[in-house]
Amino acid sequence: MKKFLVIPAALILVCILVFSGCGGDETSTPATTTPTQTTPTTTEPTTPPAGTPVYGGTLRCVSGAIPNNLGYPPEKAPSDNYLMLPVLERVAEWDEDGNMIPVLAESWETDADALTITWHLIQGVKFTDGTDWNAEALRWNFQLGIDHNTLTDGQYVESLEVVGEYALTMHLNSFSWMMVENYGLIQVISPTAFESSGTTDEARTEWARANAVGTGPFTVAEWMRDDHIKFEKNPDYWQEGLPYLDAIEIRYIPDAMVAAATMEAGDADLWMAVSTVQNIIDLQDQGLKINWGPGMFVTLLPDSSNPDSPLAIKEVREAIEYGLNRPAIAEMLGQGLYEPLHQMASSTWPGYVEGYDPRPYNPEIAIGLLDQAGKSAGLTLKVMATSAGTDAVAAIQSYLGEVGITIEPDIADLGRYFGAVFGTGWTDLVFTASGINPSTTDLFIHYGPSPMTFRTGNIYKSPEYLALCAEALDPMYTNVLEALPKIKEAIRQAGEDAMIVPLWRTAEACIMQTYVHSEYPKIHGIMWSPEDDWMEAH
Amino acid sequence: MTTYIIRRVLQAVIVLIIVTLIVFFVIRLLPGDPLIIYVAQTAQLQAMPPEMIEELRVQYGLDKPIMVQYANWMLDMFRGDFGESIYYHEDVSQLMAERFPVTLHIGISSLIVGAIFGILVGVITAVRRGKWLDKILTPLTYVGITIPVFFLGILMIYFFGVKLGWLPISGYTSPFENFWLNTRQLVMPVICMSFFSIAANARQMRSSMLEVISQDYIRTAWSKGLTERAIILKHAMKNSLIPVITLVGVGVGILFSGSVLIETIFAIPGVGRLLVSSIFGQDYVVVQAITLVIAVAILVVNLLVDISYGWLDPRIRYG
Repeated sequence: MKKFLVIPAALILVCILVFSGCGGDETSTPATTTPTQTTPTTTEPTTPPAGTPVYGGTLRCVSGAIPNNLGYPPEKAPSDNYLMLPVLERVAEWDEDGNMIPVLAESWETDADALTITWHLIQGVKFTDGTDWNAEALRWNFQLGIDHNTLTDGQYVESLEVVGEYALTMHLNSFSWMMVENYGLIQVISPTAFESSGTTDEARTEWARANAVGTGPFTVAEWMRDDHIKFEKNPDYWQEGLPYLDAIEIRYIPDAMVAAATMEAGDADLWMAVSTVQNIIDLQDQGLKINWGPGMFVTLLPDSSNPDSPLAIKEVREAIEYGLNRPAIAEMLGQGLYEPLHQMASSTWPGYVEGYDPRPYNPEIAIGLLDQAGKSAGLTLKVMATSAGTDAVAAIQSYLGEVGITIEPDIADLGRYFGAVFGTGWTDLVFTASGINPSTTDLFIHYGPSPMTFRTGNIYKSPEYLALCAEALDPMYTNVLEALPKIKEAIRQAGEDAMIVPLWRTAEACIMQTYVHSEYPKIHGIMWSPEDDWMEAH
Repeated sequence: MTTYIIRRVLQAVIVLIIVTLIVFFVIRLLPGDPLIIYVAQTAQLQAMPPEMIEELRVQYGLDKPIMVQYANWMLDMFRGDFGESIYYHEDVSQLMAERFPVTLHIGISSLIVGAIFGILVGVITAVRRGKWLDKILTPLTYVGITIPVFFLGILMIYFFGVKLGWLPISGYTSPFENFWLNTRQLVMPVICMSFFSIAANARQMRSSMLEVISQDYIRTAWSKGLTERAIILKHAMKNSLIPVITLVGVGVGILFSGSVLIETIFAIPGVGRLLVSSIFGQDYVVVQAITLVIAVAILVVNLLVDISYGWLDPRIRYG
């Protein structure tokens, strides 16, 4: 019988040997050479001065999203876009103040009278298939978006005219400053690579979903759907001396706890787009670096355009705002990392109206307003949310219960939620989160006269508010800074109308090891300059 | 025997048809429109007018009456066409070809580990009944049966991944690409997935062995002076295996359900994770195809298990 004991003991021993004997770790150690012209090297480590970028290394990232469509723009999700920035560059992008800065463009001209935007492109840039980046390539990319109805504001483009090898004029049937941003943020692919990838549209599309040929600092070296993507340095990148890294690898880890453990164990260098507060605090406490992103703009949206809804009564909407102790809820949910909101803007947003807090927490006023609205006996409202909003809805339910508003949480699966919010509309209130960008275009995307997202028509928008939105988009303004006073007036008007119930801005962070230097996503969740990322020797 | 197999195959076909009906209609009972979910998740909604959504509906055949959709799906299945994923824009057969080998690799490894260790523990605890080894191992089997897989996974990640740094926390690398990395990556998922079956097999094997070793023919073997090894391996073990084999058959079903959790915890791109994301995205064609393939696998394994009874115990005759 002893032999029966020997067998499991031997198996256990073999297992231990396998675990520990093969325990070579995959930590990437970048060489520490200082940049010298355009010839990066990964040998002969030296010790550069602190803060001086060094070449080499593979940046190992973990992310809760992974590109599923590499290079076919008409079907791209937001995560497909920003995670493919190492390969597919934009024509222009935002800086930290929300101003547009050129990337593949050298400059642009707008003519509100002639209704044109002319893009002047930088010269000498090539796609990684060796073909030229020029006006024809840009025209082709715009046309692809227009044909598939996925170019934002594409409906305003009358025609595209190549006016020089590196100049393209867009002829429009309307003009606003927002168009420069919406068109400039396009990420471009190589037309030649796409067109020569197959004989039919279907074949080309299928190829492009799995391949990306751009002008970026990296190329796709490896991609496994829903698992990982690896980018390798583009040795012919047009920006001299960049990128610093040899490679970037993004691994898809959907579970935040596992991603946090991966960072803690040192198996990853950078964790992108983290919104789980406890993980951020824990890893920050352990000394990891944090880059703060913009977070999400969280609101309750009312069914106020429905005359049969109690939310059509302004006093009811106001009572909800007065009845919610937003600073307390934000503190509780965000552990100090959420910003309570009092207006349809966060303090990080250019359109924020300083000091404007029309309805601070005051349950007595809330009860009085309900009396005025003829709801002194109380009322019952549904709040639709996904499971991610359960805690928040519970807190809202508790506070509003104190002023006589009974909240019935309606926790929906994604199918019903998206169907309601973007399709068929909702009853009473819906708990939503929307993106915040450094410019102000999201005001119009989410809450404008013709919003792209919350477009079900549930939200009542006063004529005064709509007029201010229209004025902010007047062709006389050529950029957001000029339009900003009008945008602030619109924000204030939305507050006066109690158009929506602003709640809080969530936390979003990028967590990285101390030796990593990255700007991701300081400017915005969709802005990243991977060519500037580098790692110290570690 | 042949009659028995034919009868079981026919029964399996009927079960399969029932499975297709349940899967097809139940997923359509879920609220929400798969196309709205898809375009909302990909942010295409902002630029996609209703007429384009309707075009997509026609493209995926979702505009047709539900019975016509079912009939078309079944016809496509017979032609070996699993359809195209709404979310991934990829042939479902291609998606499954990418994912099933991963899940099967982990699953089969878990089944083998579960069977070997389960049987070993069962035999040892039965033969050493009441001794210290039995007193340690038998309570552990209770733990093995009751501990949730996700909790065990998190504990293992914390100790072996974070604290000791022995094993990679997540991911899957093909064994053909890097065998040792693959082995190290598989250790935690395989242990997690096989923990229940080790415990269940051990408990079943122990009670089965206890029953067998009290039989007259075993006493006769002892009185003939055969060695313990010969008695246990040749006479007792084979006759104790039938209930365990049944459990192993059931384990194939547990393998696929377990893969849903294990692949999520350890970030493994297998069919379990694909199934979860497809259910959330109401990617009908993917859910239907995966469920059907899993149902076929379970039916085939159970058929093989039933047939194997006759080999293990010649007294069993098939009518």
